[in-house]
Amino acid sequence: MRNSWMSKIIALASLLCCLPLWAADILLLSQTTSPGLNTFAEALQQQHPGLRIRQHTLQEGEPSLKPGDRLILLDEAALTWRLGQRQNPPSLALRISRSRAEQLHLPSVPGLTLLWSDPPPLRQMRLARLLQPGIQRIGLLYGRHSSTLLEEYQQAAQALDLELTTQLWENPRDNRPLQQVLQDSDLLLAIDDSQLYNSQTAKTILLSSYSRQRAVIGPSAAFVKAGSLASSYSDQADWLATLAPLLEQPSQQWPSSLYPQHFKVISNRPVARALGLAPPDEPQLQRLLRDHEAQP
Amino acid sequence: MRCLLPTLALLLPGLAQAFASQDDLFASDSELPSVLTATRLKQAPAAVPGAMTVLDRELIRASGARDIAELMRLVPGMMVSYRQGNLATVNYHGSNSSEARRLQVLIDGRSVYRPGLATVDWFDLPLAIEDIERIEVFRGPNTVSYGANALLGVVNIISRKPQDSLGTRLQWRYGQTGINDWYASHGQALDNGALRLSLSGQADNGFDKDANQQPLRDDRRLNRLLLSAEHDLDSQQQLSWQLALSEGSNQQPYTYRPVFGPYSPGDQGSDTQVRDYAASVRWNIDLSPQHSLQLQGNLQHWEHLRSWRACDAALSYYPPLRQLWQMNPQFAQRFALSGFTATSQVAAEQALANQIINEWLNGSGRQETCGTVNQDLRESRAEIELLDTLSLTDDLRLLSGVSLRRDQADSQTYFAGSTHNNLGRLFGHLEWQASERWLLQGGAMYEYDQLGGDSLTPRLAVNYLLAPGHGLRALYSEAVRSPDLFESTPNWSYWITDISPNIYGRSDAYYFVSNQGPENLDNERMRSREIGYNGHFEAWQLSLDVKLFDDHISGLISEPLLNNAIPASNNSSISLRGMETQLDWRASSRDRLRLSYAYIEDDPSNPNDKHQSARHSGSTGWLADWGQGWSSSLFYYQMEALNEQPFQRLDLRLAKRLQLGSSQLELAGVWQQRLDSGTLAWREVLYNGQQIQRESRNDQRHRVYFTAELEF
Repeated sequence: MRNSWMSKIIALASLLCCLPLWAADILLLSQTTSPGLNTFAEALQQQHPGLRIRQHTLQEGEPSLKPGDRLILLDEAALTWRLGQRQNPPSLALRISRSRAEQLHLPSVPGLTLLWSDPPPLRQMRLARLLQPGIQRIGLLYGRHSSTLLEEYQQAAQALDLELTTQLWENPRDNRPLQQVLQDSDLLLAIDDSQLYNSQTAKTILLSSYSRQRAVIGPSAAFVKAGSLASSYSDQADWLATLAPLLEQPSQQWPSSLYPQHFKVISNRPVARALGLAPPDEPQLQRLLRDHEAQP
Repeated sequence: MRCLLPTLALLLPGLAQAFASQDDLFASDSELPSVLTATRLKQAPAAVPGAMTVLDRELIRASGARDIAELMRLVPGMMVSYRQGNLATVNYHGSNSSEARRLQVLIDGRSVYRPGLATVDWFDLPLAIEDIERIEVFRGPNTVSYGANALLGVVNIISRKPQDSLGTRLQWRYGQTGINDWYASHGQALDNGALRLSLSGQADNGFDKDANQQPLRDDRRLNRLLLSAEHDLDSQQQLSWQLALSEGSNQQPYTYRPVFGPYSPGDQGSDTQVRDYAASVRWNIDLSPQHSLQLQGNLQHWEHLRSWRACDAALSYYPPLRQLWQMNPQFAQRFALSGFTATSQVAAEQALANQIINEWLNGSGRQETCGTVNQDLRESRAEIELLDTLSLTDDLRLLSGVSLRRDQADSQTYFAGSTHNNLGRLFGHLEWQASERWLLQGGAMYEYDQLGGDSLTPRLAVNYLLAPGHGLRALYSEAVRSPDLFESTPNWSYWITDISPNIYGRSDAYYFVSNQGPENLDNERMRSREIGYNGHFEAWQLSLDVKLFDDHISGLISEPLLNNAIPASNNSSISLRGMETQLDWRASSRDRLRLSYAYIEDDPSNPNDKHQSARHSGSTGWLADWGQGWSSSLFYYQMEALNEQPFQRLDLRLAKRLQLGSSQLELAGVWQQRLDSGTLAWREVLYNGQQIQRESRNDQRHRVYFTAELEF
């Protein structure tokens, strides 16, 4: 009897500690489910034991929303569904790149926060500079859907006193823009644009760059494994850490978009060695980048 | 607890890493193939087991050079000159360069070193400079990787991949000394690959005057076709092939000097018609990221057709004189050149000599006769090579291979018909990154040469990385050059046709001079020691390479390929010591500076190998981008006393690039200014060590030409 009373107090205390005052459900929405998705849901629940986290797939049908529910949209189908909702439930859209958002002509929607899957340009350029301090000219290929990012890249380059050389690459079967940008730059910075950087183009981009002894930075961890020199990237742990403060805030304070604030650095040591560079010290690079970003 | 968890994740990177598993929703592997695999990555410059110069496209373009030989001036230690007017000779460091037969030259892995006379037709190569992606010059012997004849160095020319040169390019170059070049290419993407057709032509008038202030007959004209394609058969296999043709004519002066009196020249020149044909196929197979194969087959055919009319006394065709030459060429030569006064102690020789004197005295031998001299030479090569690259671990890689080759030469004059050689080669090279700092590389090549015998050449290199990008190297290598077909099986005689007036009742006959050669020539052997430094100063974007070398070639065949009484032998040797350096500095985003310098001390045992190395030589270049499409480049080349002639030249190139809609137009002008007063060509040794100076000079010490290029 005493134990049951005690346990009730503990349960109440933990509720007070862990449940936000505006407590409601977090609905993880996706088209289908997958082991990765389930792992993410479990990790999120573990991180926020006080939150009621539900998973729903659009395959099962329309989700039923309660007032105050907040959504985490985990794929494009979920985002598209959300765009069709009139009630505008507060939503965090994950796994969407800036170029894809441009391609989808995403309107500005109240209550929708886009959490970019791309590493931010300044972070990537700083990483490039840390790996190759002497570089002066950053080469950038962009597509029709990433052209709106140029200004941001330009600003990042200016902030680091780097020269940005850009080339529009509309037809991945025509290498001329790639050749030109490699000729006019010291390093190729890859935008997270799947129209440009994909399994079809990886071979051409990486072999052409390497034959000119130019490093490629970015756009993703997978590309580094294929032959890019390095990239910053955010994995599940980083996204959980990025999401945590948002989930604690009232959704009215959510920004309309956000880059991941937590990240890691991945590098390709054999490529670094072949380019005559020091073996990248990933934790050290990570620390240096974080320190830079921590500065006001 | 709510506040602690994210912090915990940050503090425990191990925990965070654990999340980055295959199932990570955000960073899981997509279907990207591994591209820069262990088999595709090569050593960084600081870890290369030897000295290497890379001429990239930017440099090639900025140099304003019209042909590959001129580009070699940018390579430290490379001696570039011209013989018989404007036929280029390129030699690394030293030794008799009139044939420059100790340098391996490859175009996309295909050796263009001619099998018959072991020369490289620098001008007639079926590859336009506009189609070159880069040139890698391996400065030093490397038979392990490139086969016999990579004795002094290897020039590895890599053409542009069709996929990297899509679209249309049109170019026209026009200028002084009759320069009139054109280039047209179109690259087309295919379903799983690309194809490019390049057509080009080149022409100029060469030099103006020879050493005697006489107009020099050395115009050049060439047309080329190159069809190049690559196909991705699947994600692991690629097939590429090339078809290359060139056709041209090189004027050559009339050099026949009548032996028996002041007979009139029979012709204005002795021009060569050249045709080169080449076909190659390469099949690359990636068995795994750690293991790849490359199979390459090449077929080549060279035709050098040369005939001219020559006049001399009818005695030149007198059979007893030919017999005397075959019996004792040294005496026959002395006898002919002495005005028949020389005598022989050998009765048979003297009897023939008396017959010859009678023929001369009775007048019929003195009669002027003219005939057609034919020096046609057709050479072919077929080669197949299998190269295996196996990455045993991240730090251990084995390159091995096998190749088979057949060389053939057909010429009535040089070989009295046809001759051939079969060669086989087995090679292996191991690269071991023993630690972050130490790199050991070594290998050996075994070659079977039907004519020259077997040879085994080792190579060992140690690289010590002072820091990433900075390496010291020490290497020892041995290399061989097998005698070419002409050195191995010479049977040189001239069958003269259309003789007029007929002599001894015939319109064709053998000219009296012939050369059978020793037929027992051995391989030339080289031992090379080198220490060097290669470093890239990342913060300054500066690359530096220094090389100290000590090379010795024994069994050197120094006798020039001349139809005279001097037999070729392996009796010579040469030692070459010195220092080379090269520096490439991207001083700013718009300026690039490049320096090369070589100091060479040569010690040849044979006079023929003297004066073939400039003690000091080098180049300086400044490439600048001025913005608004304007760019300039300034190059200074210098060689101190090559062939006893100094050479200094300043080249300025100024270019403006214009955007015309989706097309690009570049207009460029090149000004080449000779700063010395010397001439530019080789001495060639003639009979009895007498030398004739075939120097060439232009009336004006400068040359200007303009280029317009349209790309769309």
